[in-house]
Amino acid sequence: MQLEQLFTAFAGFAVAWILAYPTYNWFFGRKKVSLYKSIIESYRYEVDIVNNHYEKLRLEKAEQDRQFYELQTQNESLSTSLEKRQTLLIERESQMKKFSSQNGETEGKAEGLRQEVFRKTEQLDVLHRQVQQKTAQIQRYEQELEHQKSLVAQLQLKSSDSANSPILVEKNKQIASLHTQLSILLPLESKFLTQTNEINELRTQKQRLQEILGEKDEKIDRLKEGCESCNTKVLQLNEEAEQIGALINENINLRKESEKYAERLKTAETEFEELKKQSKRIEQNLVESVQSADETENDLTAQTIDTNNDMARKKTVKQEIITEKEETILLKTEIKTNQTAKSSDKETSAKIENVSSDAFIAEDSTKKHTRKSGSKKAAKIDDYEIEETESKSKKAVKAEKEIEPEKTEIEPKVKVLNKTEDENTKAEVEPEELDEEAKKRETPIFKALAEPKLPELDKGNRLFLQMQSPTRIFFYWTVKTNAYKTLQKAFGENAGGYILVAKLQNLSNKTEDIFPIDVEGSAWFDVPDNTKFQTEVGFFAPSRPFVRVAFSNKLKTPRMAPSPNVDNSPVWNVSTMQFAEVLEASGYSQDAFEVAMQVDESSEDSNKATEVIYSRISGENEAYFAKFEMSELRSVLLGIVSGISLAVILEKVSGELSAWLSENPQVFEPQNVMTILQETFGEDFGKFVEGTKTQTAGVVFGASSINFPKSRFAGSSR
Amino acid sequence: MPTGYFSLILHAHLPFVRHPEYPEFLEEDWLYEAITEVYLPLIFIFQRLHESGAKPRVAMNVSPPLCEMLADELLQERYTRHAENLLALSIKELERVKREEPQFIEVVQMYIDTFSASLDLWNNRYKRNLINAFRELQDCGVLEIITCGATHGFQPLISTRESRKAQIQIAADNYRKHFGRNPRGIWLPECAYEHGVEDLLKDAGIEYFIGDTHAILYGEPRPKYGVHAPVRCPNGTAVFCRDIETSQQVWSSEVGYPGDPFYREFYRDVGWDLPLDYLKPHLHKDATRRHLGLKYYRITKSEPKQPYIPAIATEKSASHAAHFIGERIKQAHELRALNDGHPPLVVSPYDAELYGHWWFEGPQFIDYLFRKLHYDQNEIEAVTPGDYLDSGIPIQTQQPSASSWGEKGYFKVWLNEGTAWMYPFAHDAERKMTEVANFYDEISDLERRCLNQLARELLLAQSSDWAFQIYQGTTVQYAANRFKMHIHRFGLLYEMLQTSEINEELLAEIESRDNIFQEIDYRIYRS
Repeated sequence: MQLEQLFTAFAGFAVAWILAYPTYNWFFGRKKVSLYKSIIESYRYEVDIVNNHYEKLRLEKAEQDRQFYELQTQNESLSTSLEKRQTLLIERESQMKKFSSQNGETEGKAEGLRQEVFRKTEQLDVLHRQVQQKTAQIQRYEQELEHQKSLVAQLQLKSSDSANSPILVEKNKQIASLHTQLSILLPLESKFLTQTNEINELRTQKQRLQEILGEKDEKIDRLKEGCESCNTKVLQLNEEAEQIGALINENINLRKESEKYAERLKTAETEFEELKKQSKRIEQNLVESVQSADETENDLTAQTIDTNNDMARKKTVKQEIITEKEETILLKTEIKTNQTAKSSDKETSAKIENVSSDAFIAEDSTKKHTRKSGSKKAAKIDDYEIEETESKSKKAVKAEKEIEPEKTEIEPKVKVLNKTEDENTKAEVEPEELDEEAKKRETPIFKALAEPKLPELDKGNRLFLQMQSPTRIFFYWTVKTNAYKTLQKAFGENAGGYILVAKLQNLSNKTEDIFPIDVEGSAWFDVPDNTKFQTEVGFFAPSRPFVRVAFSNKLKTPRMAPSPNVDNSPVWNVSTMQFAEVLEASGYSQDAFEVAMQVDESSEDSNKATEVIYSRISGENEAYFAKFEMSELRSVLLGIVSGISLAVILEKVSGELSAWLSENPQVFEPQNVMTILQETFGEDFGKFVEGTKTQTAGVVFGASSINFPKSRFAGSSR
Repeated sequence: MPTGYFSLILHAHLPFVRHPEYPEFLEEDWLYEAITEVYLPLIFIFQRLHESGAKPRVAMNVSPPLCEMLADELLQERYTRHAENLLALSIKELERVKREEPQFIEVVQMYIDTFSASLDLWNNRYKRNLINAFRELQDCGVLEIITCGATHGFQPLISTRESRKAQIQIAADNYRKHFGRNPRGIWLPECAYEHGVEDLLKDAGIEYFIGDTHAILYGEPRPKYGVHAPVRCPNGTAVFCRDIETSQQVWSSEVGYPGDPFYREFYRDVGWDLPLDYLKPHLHKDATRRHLGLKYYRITKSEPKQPYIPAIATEKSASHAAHFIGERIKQAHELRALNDGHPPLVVSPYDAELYGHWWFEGPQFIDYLFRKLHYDQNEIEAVTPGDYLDSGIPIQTQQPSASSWGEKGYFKVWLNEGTAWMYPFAHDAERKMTEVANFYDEISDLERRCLNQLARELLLAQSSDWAFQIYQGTTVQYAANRFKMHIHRFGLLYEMLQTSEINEELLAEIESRDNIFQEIDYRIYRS
């Protein structure tokens, strides 16, 4: 029942809902529509607001764009103007540069002119003061004159009034007596004047005589000098005379020898004659032997052999005689030459000069090229008569012939240049390719060029000096091999004591070192920097004149440090301290340190300063340090303050200094050393030490080997 | 006006090595390696900098023997073969490393790219003649090319004035031949100076030379601005000298940039690392191992070596360039304060071969250096010595000191116990050369050829490279042989002249081998 009621109620409610729904829907639908409409309306309103805002923004943007465009235009025009200004600025700068350079040049002149003007002004002031004084004096004179005039006038008046006054009479008397005295004095005065003139003249004469005396003294000095040079010449002439004597002795010896040869020739001719006779006899015997053919065959054969031997001997002897004859002719030529040389002293001394200087000194540059007519062959002209004679001799010709083949000799061996020798690095090579290569290498031209060979150098007198570094030089030389022969010819038996030597001459301090040498060779010398050298080669014997053979080029080793001199012009002048800073900035710290230690512009002061520093550190006397090398002492200071270890410093300094440093350990207190340095040279000195700490060694990338600044302790551990 | 000036000076020089008598020659590789690693990259970088508006300004010496080799057709042909071989090897290597050592793929790929680009530039852009490229760079204002001694003869060790003069005059003539103008400056071989050299330079119309630091610092009188301003010799020739700080920064093996562990290791090369049979097609016919230019490792302080990573190395070179410029600005401020406001000039001369050959990333460093100088600062201005002279800044007059840039600063590297034997022969030839030049006047064509060749042989014997190599102990045998060879040939020619029996076939063969300076005139040696 309840269910039915419930169902009926539900059905009724459903029917009522179905009937009422459209109305409900219509009612609420309209409400919704109006709600939506109002929402849409509000959206529209908002859209309008946004649109308005957008429009406003658009207008603002347009305005900003316009402003931006204007700014851009302004900017461009400003840039253009800036560029122009920059260009102008650059031009101005370059003008400034020119002006500053001109200014620099003219500043010096201006300074000079300013000083000139100052001097002139001072002179003008003096003159002005003098003029003023003179003017005042003139004024005073004028006033005095006026005063005197008035006095004269007064006196005139008085004189007219009192001509007969007793005072005047008295005065007149006095005047008369004065006149009398004057008449006596006047001749005395003239006499005095005459005497004064005479005295003056005498003084002038005396002066002249003194001048003449001075000139005479100078002449005497010159004569003395001349006398000394004459003495030297006399000594030289004596030496030359000795040489001439030696030559004469040699000539005498040669003559004796020639006489011996002549005797030998005679003996040889006699022997030759005897041999001829013998030969005739043998021939005769031979004929006889032939004729006596009936004799036994053995006898005949023996006879024939003997004869043949004799013939051979005969030929040999004959050949010897011919050779001796030729040699005799050569000797005769020599004797003749020497006799000619002996004929006059002048000629002989010229000969000696030739032998002792030209003959030795003459370089191969005298070797002339001559073209023989038609053949264009160049030939050498030998320098000296003696050599000419020798060169014509058979021996010389022979020798040339022996040497000639060597000149053109080319070894047939073929070799590929500079291939890596390690066979393990090579792979197999195609045989046919090698064959082709090998064929090519068999051509004479290829062979001629394949094996390079250094030629024999001319055996002329050649000396050459070359610099390796400021403290090491290289010297090489060759001397003609016949130099000894020439010496012997010049000095004869006296040539025995002579040896061939080279002299290294220090042209800066006029000292020389002598050492024995061979006819060719080379040598290295350790030398001081900033010094001029030359070498010469010659024959030396104790207490006897040196015979020069040749001399080398001159060479000057450069200074191994900055110049002590500053530019004198005001524009380029630089103070010592400023220059030390420049060196420091250029990476040359050790030089900067050394220059900074120069309290003045000279190295003497630098050395003095070094001694003072060491004296302060050690308590020793300053003079004690003079025995050490100053640059080494400075290097030690630099090493200490740079923090180089004691062991390294002791290793790298010379023995004596090393020993002293070992005994004085207080020297190795860096702070103490630095304090003393700064007290002596100022606080800024520290920066020259800093630079040395950053130096690196000179090892670079690649194949180059580049120099980096010097440092005694470079690369050392600290 | 900038705070300071900076002048980078590169010295590109190799001795004249040309052996037509052999199909291949080991020492010719010096030139080929330098073309690939140094000259091509530098030319390419300078052109790119110029095109980008970075305005680099560099003084560069291209020495006469190098000019002659770069212009030589035989060597051009041989280089082309060399570069093609390298490219082929690197392509082959890429396949191998993909299979066996993948950690090297990146570096091998870099070589392929580099070699391909180099070959392209060589064949197509520069038409196998790099002289054209250097000339273009000079004409467009990037380079100021200077000359050198004719064959890099060490001036103070030459015995006659005529021979010294010939080294300068022939170099100037050769410069005119290749670059169509007069040289303004000269790189004195080994920066070796001795009093009197300046007169020879002035006679040849040369305005300045490059010297070592102590040429100025030890000169007479004291230089006001030290090495940071040039000086003029009493005859007016200017001298620009080396700044120590920049030398050490780049070049020192202790503190220099090239020692950075991320840069490429020079000494490990596939030519020594890979099996011989594998390499054989890429070696010379004698199948000897040699450096091939493919290096896969970076500088590693301890073994085993680590693989090279090109991108990191590039970054490093950029940061080193920035550091270098920062140091220059600092240095310029300090020097300017010290020198009462005078703008300092820092002159930095280096061997060109340092950049690219020894220091593989060197060309990149130069690239970054000039870009940063142009875009990132305005305190340092890059100039050449010629620019500085043109600026009109006053220069102090001074007599420089004898010096060289070699070890210890003087002549030891070239004159020592191991090389002293060379000088009597060289000096003898120098004396004979002037003797025959004075003697022969009206002569036949054959005699003229003989005399000119005589001069060539003397010049080649005078090259300072031979003594240097002997001292360094690197290629001693080759260097000694080369010296002997030229003295030997000089002797053969001199003998022919003396006897008037000129072997034309032999003369022609020598001419074809030592064909340097075709324009030479023996009369330059007359006294």
